[in-house]
Amino acid sequence: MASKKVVIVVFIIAMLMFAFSVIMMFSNSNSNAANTSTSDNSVQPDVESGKISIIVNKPSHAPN
Amino acid sequence: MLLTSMKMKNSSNPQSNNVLTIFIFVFFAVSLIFFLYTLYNLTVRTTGYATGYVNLTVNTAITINVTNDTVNWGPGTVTAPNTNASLVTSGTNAGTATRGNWSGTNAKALVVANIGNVNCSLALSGTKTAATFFGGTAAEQAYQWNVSNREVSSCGVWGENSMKDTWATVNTSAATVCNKLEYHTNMNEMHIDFKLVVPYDATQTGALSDVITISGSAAI
Repeated sequence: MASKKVVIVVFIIAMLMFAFSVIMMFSNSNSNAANTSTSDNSVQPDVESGKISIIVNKPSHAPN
Repeated sequence: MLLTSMKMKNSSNPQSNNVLTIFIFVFFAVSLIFFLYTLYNLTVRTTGYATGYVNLTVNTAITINVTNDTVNWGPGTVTAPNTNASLVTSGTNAGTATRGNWSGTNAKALVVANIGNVNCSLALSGTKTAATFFGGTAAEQAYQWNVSNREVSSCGVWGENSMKDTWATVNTSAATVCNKLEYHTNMNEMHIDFKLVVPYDATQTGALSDVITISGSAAI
């Protein structure tokens, strides 16, 4: 009778340990879920400039 | 149910009871190993294990650079008895002046490079026409540009074709010459050449200039 009670206690302890392990396994897998984030980055235009320059002297002639 | 089964089997068959007891102890051993492993993992995580994530954002940026931003012809005059002088730039070579005595040493094409990290479109505009630049006889004057790839395949998709590898009158309104200017190294630069035809009777004399606006926007 005493050994039967021991077996039952062992069984209950085994069940509790198993349940705890399973619960912890699932909670860890959830905490390891990837953290991702996205953001929208619109492209801004860029404006530059160039310069063309010339010095025009008055010609000293009249056309033919 | 298992407990009921144990009771039943305890009273009926002692051999079955032994099997069940062995099974329970095996189950206990497996559960213990599983439990200890879980406990070990939990301890490691709570004492020296940390999780985190790297947040990296790569922004797309259109950045155009005018690596040669000035075409400077300096002083000169139309050589007698001609009625005009033609001044032409040619890429990175010195410009050439015909029927005039300007020096082309500092007259080279504007060079536009896409140094961003995304393809872009390129729009150009000037602020003057030949008439407002020089004045004088209309038939003896011109103000033109010519856009070309400085590096092979820089412009993947051309837009406005009128000045593509050919001379066309400078626009005072923005013209999208290239719809897709590449950003990859060695294929991201373009030339903007200029041709000036200066009339002998220019009404605008002295130091003359025009500003070319170059806009890089999202590729079309």
